[in-house]
Order: sequence, then C-alpha cells, then structure tokens
Amino acid sequence: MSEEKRHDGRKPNDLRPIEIKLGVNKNADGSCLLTWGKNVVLATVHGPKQMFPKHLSNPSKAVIDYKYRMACISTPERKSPVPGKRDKEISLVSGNALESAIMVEQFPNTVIEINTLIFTADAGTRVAALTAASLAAADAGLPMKGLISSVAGGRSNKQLVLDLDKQEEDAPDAVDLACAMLMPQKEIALLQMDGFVDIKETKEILKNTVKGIETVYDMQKKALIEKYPLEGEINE
Amino acid sequence: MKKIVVPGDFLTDERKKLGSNVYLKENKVYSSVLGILSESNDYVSVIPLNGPYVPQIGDAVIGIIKLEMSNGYIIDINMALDCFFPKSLLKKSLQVGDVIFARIKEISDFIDLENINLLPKGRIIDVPSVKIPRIIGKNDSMLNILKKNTASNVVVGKNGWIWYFSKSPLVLEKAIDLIVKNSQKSNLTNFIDDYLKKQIKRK
Repeated sequence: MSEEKRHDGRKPNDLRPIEIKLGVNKNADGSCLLTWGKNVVLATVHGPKQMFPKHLSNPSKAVIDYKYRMACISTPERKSPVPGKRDKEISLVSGNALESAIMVEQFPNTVIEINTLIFTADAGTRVAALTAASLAAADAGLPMKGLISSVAGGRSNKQLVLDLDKQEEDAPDAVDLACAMLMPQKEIALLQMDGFVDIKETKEILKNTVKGIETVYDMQKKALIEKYPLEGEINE
Repeated sequence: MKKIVVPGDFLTDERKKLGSNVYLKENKVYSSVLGILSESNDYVSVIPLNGPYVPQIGDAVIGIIKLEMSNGYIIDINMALDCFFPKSLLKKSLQVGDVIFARIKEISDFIDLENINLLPKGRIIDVPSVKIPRIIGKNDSMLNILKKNTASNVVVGKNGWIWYFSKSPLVLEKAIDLIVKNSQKSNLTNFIDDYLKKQIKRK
C-alpha cells in the first residue's frame, strides 16, 4: 500500500476526529451526540416500556425498535423526511446488530426505542449512528454484553483507506465496507459492502477495519468513564 | 479506590459469588452495565450509575392511580408493566391521580401490591431508581439530613419516585438533584449537610 496522503491530509489508516457528548437529551433515558468528522448524529434511548400494539411484543425478550433517520437538512439538497428503502434497511440491520449486545431477555413484553438522527451527513453515517446508539444504550444503563463499535473501510482511487468521506466515496473505483463489532469479544455484528473488490483486498480492508474499530472502542470507553468523574469538587 | 467499569469489561477469573449486573462466560466474570465496581474476597458486583427500575419482592414503591375499572385499579409504578389492584381488598375507594405508597407482594405476569396507603397532598420528583440507595444513605443518614434541614416530610419509593411535602421545596429539589448528579463521589453526606444549612440560613 502506498503511503500517499489523502485529500484531507490523513494517512490511509487514520480516522476522522471523533467527539462524544453523553446525556445531552434530558427527555430520553440515555442519549449521545456524536461528531465524527463532518457527520453529526444524535442517538436517544427510551425504555424499556410497554409495547403498543401488544401483539407485536415478545414474551421471551424485549423488542429493539431502532430507527435510522436523516434530517432533511443533512444533505446538500433537501432530503425528503419520509423514510425510504435505504433508511428502513439500515434501521433493520443496525437494530439486529444492537440486539446482539443488549441483554433483551431481561425485559420480556417490552420495547426499547432507539432513535438516531443524522444532522449532517458526510459518508459513513450508518457506522456513526450505530456507535452513538450503543453509547446511548450504555448511558441509559441497559445491561449489555459489550459495546458495539463500528467503522467503515474501503478503497478509493486505487488506495486502501479507512473511514472514507463523501469525496472519497464518490471515486469511480470506490469500495465501502461497513463493519460493526461487539467489543471486547470481537464478534462481528454487522457487515455490509458495496462496490467491486476481490477476496484478497477484502481481507486487507477487513483487517484495517478491525484496527479502526479497536480505536473507536477505546474512545467510547474513555467517554463513558469520563462522564462520571470520581475525584474533584462536588459542583452545584 | 473506586473504579468505573463499562459493559463488557473483564472483572475477574477467580471463583467468586456473583452479585448484580455481572455475567459469567467461560469461567470469567464480566460487567454488564456502566457502573462502579464493588469487589471483595469472595464477592463481585457492579453498582449501576443509571438504569431502568427492576422490581423485587418486598420493595416499597410509590404509585399513581392511572385508571379505574369496574373491579379494580391500574397503578403506574414507574416501570414498563403496570400493576392491577382489586377493589375488594380496599376499604375505601381511590380516585384517578391519587398517589399511594405500597409494597410489592408478588411478581409474575402481573405485579401484586399489598399494604396500600394513600399519601396526602404533595409533590413527586422522578430520579433514576439506582440512585435511591444514595438518597437514603447508610442507616437513613442522608434522608434524615434532608428532612431535618428543610423541615419536610419525605417518602422514598424504591422505584425512583420521591414524594415530599416541604416548606422550602426548591432547596430540597436542588439538594436531591445534587445527590443524583454527584452520586459516584465520596463524602457526599457532609457536603449536603453543609449545603442545606447554608441555603436555609440565607433565607
């Protein structure tokens, strides 16, 4: 792999700067505002609460109602706020990924509502939303096996890169592989890809992505621990 | 030394009695919530810093009458499932919106209550149920400080609802808010005592 610098000055395996704020929404049980490069995502968790209509509830576990939505101001041109095919598909797969982390069997007959809203989109929004949702669930105090951390890797302009932005994703030979893992167990919870790529390069991309996921996991852990400072003044 | 753990953190691989909010996988113990680690020679558990109310038999809870039916009442106790209480076990009738103090008798598909007492006019604050032990304190120390300094009547439900009737309600609310926000820090009881004395004197 060539050590060429990317158009925004990053090295091939660098992530965009990530900033995490927890507990931003007082109406939700848990919330997280995540800034990932130019992406801005708000994730909130409500529940567990009673499910309506009742026949959709499951007597052996809680149902995860994950919603991925893009605000109409998130793209250069106005996006219709009506959830399209893409929104629904991402909601389904991300909800399944989170269900592998949250101990749903402890809350039978209930629903856990997880809403993620993208304020500004700049490629890699599904991984940003999933990372934020996992943090919001941990902030809400839901019992979890681990955290879900995710990063997208891929290829742009014949170079294997991590965490593509919109300009790189629009390249003619672009490959985008979104991967989410249950950390620290390192179990794959979500894997999606588009573009044409051979198996050798896929393995290489996946290897880089796992390294990126470890970095994201460390940031998530740091943000959660920093929310509750043990030392220092009791502030009024 | 206190330590904060996140979900999935490895705690120990020794054979220990498992407390709450931990899980066992391949003979290793992991944390399942964001909380403070509490570990001794033969016991390991995690005290959560936030979370939903999980009912247990014998919990004293505060409830609000949500709905009146022909044979009983549906009572909201700040959790996903509502409880039902039959009219035949009550001496006098209740109204929608009444606040009650009761004990959980049985947990099955429904939650059964017993010892229902009607609380008089007052206010309710909603706090995370995991902070309730901190608001009560060791041997009711924190609760006594709150009651004594603000000259108020306080009833604490395990479900995270606190009923109170006070002459200085704003000071009491602010003090409870301080306890909730700083529950992970030590030496909180003395701080709240000083804070309340200062606030009451200023008035």
